[in-house]
This record gives sequence, C-alpha cells and structure tokens, in this order.
Amino acid sequence: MSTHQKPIDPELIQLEEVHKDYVCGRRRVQALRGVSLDVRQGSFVVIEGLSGSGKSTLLNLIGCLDYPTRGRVIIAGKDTSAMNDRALSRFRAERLGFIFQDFNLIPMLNAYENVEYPLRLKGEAKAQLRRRTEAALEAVGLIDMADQRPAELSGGQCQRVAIARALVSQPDLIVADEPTANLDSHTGERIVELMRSMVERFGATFIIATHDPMIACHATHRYRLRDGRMVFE
Amino acid sequence: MTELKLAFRNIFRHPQRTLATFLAMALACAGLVLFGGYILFIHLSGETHATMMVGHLQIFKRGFYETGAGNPAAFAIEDYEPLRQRLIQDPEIGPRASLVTGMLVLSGIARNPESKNSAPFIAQGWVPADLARLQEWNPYQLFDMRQLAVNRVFFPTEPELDASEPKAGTLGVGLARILGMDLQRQADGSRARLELLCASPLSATPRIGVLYVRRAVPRGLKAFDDRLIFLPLDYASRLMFPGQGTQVTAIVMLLNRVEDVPAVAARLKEIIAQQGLELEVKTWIELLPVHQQAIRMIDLFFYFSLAIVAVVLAFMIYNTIMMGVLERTREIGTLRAMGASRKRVSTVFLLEGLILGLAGGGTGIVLGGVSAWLIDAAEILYQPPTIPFLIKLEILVFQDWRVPLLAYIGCLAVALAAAYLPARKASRLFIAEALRR
Ligand SMILES: Nc1ncnc2c1ncn2[C@@H]1O[C@H](COP(=O)(O)OP(=O)(O)O)[C@@H](O)[C@H]1O
Ligand SMILES: [Mg+2]
Repeated sequence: MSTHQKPIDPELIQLEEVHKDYVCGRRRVQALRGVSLDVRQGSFVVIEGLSGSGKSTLLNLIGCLDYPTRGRVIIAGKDTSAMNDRALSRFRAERLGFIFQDFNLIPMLNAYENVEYPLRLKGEAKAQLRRRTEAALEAVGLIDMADQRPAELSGGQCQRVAIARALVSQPDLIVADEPTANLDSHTGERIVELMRSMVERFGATFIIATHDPMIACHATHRYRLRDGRMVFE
Repeated sequence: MTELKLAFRNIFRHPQRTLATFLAMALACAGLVLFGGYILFIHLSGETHATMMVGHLQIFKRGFYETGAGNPAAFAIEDYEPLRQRLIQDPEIGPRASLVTGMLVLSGIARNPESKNSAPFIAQGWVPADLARLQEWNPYQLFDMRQLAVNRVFFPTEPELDASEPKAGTLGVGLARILGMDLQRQADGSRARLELLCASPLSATPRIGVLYVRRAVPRGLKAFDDRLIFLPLDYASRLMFPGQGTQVTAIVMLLNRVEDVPAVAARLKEIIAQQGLELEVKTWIELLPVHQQAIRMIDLFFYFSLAIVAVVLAFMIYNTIMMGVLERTREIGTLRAMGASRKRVSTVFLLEGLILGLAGGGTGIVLGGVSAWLIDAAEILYQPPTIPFLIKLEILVFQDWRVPLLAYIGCLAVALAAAYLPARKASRLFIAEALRR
C-alpha cells in the first residue's frame, strides 16, 4: 500500500440540518433532529452518545447507506440525495470503507478474500489485487492468517482483517460504528492504536461512533449526540 | 468471480439442506426424463404401428371416408394406375414417397362352410408385396418382429399376403373365433376355407368367392379384430368388379420421413384442385383418430406431471434459497455497504439456484439414463396403449437428444425462476436495516 497524499478537500463531510425519521408502524421515531457537522480530510472524529442517541443513524447517512429525511448530506462534494442506488454503490466502493461492531466479515471467504473483495468491487487491475491485498494484511499484521476463515480467527484478529478490508482500497473516509464494543479492553486498545496509525500512514479520515473513552482520547474532533441532536462540549 | 465463490461455498454451508434439495431435483429430473423417454416410446411405437396399418397418407374418392363403408364399390377411383404414375413422377412427391399403392375396400358376409357360422366382414385388398413393405416400416427400430406377442404368445410374423397364393388372406382373430375357424393346416397341407359373399355394383346377385385363410392376426381394436379380412388386391378386384381389371378405393402412400406428411398432403390437395379431381386426402393422424386420442391423453398426463413436478421443485428451491437470504441478511448488508451493486448481490443467489439446477438436473439425467438402460437390459415385454401386441419396452432417453436437453434446460429454468424472487429480495434489502440484524 503506497502512502499517497490526497488533494486537500477541506470539508470531506458536510451535514446541513440533517433530520432522520423512522416510521415504525404507527410510531414515528425522530432519530436525528437537525444535525450539522463539518469534517475535514485527515480527521479522526469521534461521535459519542448513549445507546439510542442516533450515532448509527448518523453514520449510516455519512456512509451513504441511507438518505436523510430532511437536510443535506454532502460527502466529498457530492450530495447523496442526488444519487440513485447504483451511483451510491459505486461511490461507496470507490470512496468509503466500513468497520462494524460485529466485524461483519463474510464467513465463507477467508481473510485474504475478505480483504480483496473491495478491490474487486472497485474493478482493480488483476496485477494489483494480490500486491495490495497482501500489503493491507501485512499492515494489520495478519499476513500469516490469510487463509483462515473468520470463524478460525479471534475477535481482535477479525477486527484487524476488517480494518485491512476497510483500508485496502484507499478510501477517503472510513466509517466505524462502535468498532471496539465487542472486544476486551486490551484488544480494543490495540485496535484503536491500529486505526490511529492508519490515519498517519494513509491520511485516511475516520469517523467513529463509540462509548469507549479510550477511543475518544485519540480523537482530533469529539462530538456528542443526545436524542438526535449534537451537544457541544 | 467472488460471487461464484460465495454461491458455491454457501451451497455447501448447510450440506443437509442442500442435499435434500439436490436429491429432490435429481430424482424429479430423472423421473421426468424417464417419463419423457417413455412418452417418446409410446409416440414412436404408436406412429410405427399406425403407419403399418394405414400408411402416411390415403387418397379417396370424395365422400368415401364419411359414407363409403356402406357401399365401398361405389367409390372406386377412376384411372387409378395413371394417377399413381403421376404421383410417383411428381417432382415434389416422388422423391419423398417410398411407396404408392392401391387398396380396395369391400364388405359382405363371410361364411365358414365347416361350422356353418357366418359374420359380416370388411376386407382390404392389397398388393401383397406392397402390404409387406408397409408392415416392415420400422424407422425407429422399435419392433423386433420376432418379439411381437399377444397375451405372451408370440405369433408368426411372416408376410400377411403372398403373391404365390392369389386366393389366400388373413382374418382378424375375433372374426376367426366368431366363424369357428380351425386354422390348423390339413394333413395334405391345404388351408381352411371361407366363403365370401359380397354385393357387387355390377351384378344384381351377390358374388361369392372362396378365401383360403393363411392365419388369424390380432388387429388391436375389437372392431377390426371382429371384422377385418386382408386379401390380395387382384382377387378382391375380381370379386367386386369382374372383368374390370384392378380397381381401388384408396391410394395409400408411405413416405420416407413422417415430417414430410404435411408438405406432401398440401401438394396432393394442390394437384387434386388443379385437375378438378373428385378426390380427398387424409393423413394417418386423421385416419386413426382413436389412436391420436390415446396419445393426446398420455401427453396430457405427462404435461400435468411436468407442471406438478416443476411447481414442487420450484417451491423447494425457492425455500432453500430464501432461507439463505434470511440467514445471511447481515452479510448482504455488509456486501452492499462495501459497494456491491444490487446486481452483484442478486447474482450470488441466482448462481446458487443455477448451481443446484446444473447439478441436480445433470445428476437426474444421468440417473434417468442409467435407469433407462437397465429397463432396456431387462428386456421387458410391454403393450403400449395404441398397439395390439407386446413389444420390448424401451425408454428412449437418448434416442432423441431433445429429451435430455429439454429436461436439463427445464431444470435450469425452474431453478433460476425459483431463485429469482429470493435473489430480488436480497438485492433490494434496505442496507441500514440489514446491518442491524
Ligand atoms: N430502522 C429503524 N427503524 C426504526 N427505528 C430505528 C431504526 N434505526 C434506529 N431506530 C431508532 O432510532 C434511534 C436511534 O438509533 P441508533 O441510530 O441506532 O442509535 P445508536 O446507534 O446511538 O444506538 C433509536 O431510538 C432507534 O430505536
Ligand atoms: Mg448504534
């Protein structure tokens, strides 16, 4: 993986008065109630908040997995509301990476194939696939586990594979929803350090939702959500 | 690539579930292949037998087919021999025809002078060699003439008529029984005799002739068995039209290929219209409506089972793949989050259906083929519904490559169609929702 420097696009993420309602039968849940946020390239942003405060909802919007009910979500200069499913899929494949609380590795693919998949989605040239996949596994220290399926790996190893998978296609933005919640504190610490080092190595921007104070202390920017609103600290 | 990998590995993720679906698919396909091969056997053996009886096409004087049986003599075809020559020389008919011959139908009362029994008959007069050619028509090699049997008793299959016995013919087995014929040859080698009384259009009193009986032949239909007599055409003409030379009521044509029947029929109609002849043309299908009804009924059974099997299989595959979609919802959400398009996701599940179809269908065809071969090897004697005698049962799975091909394509189509809805559902899952699972 080469340390390439992306052109500085000062506002990688711009949220303008974003609302998100869920309609659940008769009930209407206002998960986000007017959130505005600017995130710069290269930041390590942490979103804190209690369970149910709207962190995942916010990350889904930033990760282009869902559309806001109201307001605008602009990622790398593109308004997500203006893109259809196909365009958003391509956009995610080319510009975004995801890390999940439960790792979400594909159980039927081994570590190598899991990490390689985003490159295939991106349409990477055959010659590059192997080199870049191995480099990503190397970077998270799991090159020796390349042939293992997720079920054969520990939680910490899974999350490292997931980090390699999120980084392998050199996305502009990595969205991580409670990445350490299912890890013991020691392993969690390792994972945080790993993510932090990735910011330095690759200039990737991270936006992380967490309860974990240990992540928060690495943040370049910290925000807190309460009942779907940003509270500033 | 990864989609194929995912499809393959996920199929083997639940070996038991996959095995159940796979086996159902294979057995169903094998069953259908066998049934299809059996249907083909019925069709081809029926076609063979029908052609032996009536040829491919017959030409009559107009009205004979509807009313002629009452007075066949009134429907002799004028200028039969020149017309026959014309047809043989026609550039469209000649090359396609393997036999063009005349046949005379007559009716009357048959009497056994020994037993004094008598019974009404219908007789067909044939050129002996031509009748033999008709009865040897066997393009599918389904009749081994030495293996024909009725009620497990093999009967002789030498030609029915013989030019060296100009006054000898055959009876339907029913007629022989009704007349109380003793068909054992006499010690001096002579044959049993029969008196035929028939109304001739040329004389006021009935004509009487003697017929020597070569043997009794099973005809399949009771109506034929009880009434039908075959005799040489020349003798029949002499009985009916004394001094008038050879007369016929039908021109019977045998073609090289059954597929040519419609084209030749059309050409015949054209010639008849052009020449203003008082003739009409019937194909073997029109001549044997009962036969066609039996075939159609069997076909209906086949299509009915086909439909049921297809629906049951489709449900099974749908179920198997839908279970996969439900179990792997979060996985699907993950693929989509990483940027997999809807098409990529649905491809995985369609491929799973396709793989099940390819494997199940392929195994089924092999299984069906092996069973067909075993049935073949068992040399089972069997009486198809449209044939009056027992012949060796053959399941024609590979005789016509369309049977296994259609079965295979059918399996694939059912599998793909059944996978379509789950695949579509997978591709349209709401990503954020799928990830919450
Ligand atoms: N798909 C959904 N349908 C209905 N309600 C939802 C849905 N997703 C989230 N919510 C609700 O929205 C609120 C915010 O949820 P979420 O964003 O998951 O919070 P957090 O990630 O901070 O725990 C919660 O009240 C939750 O129940
Ligand atoms: Mg959450």
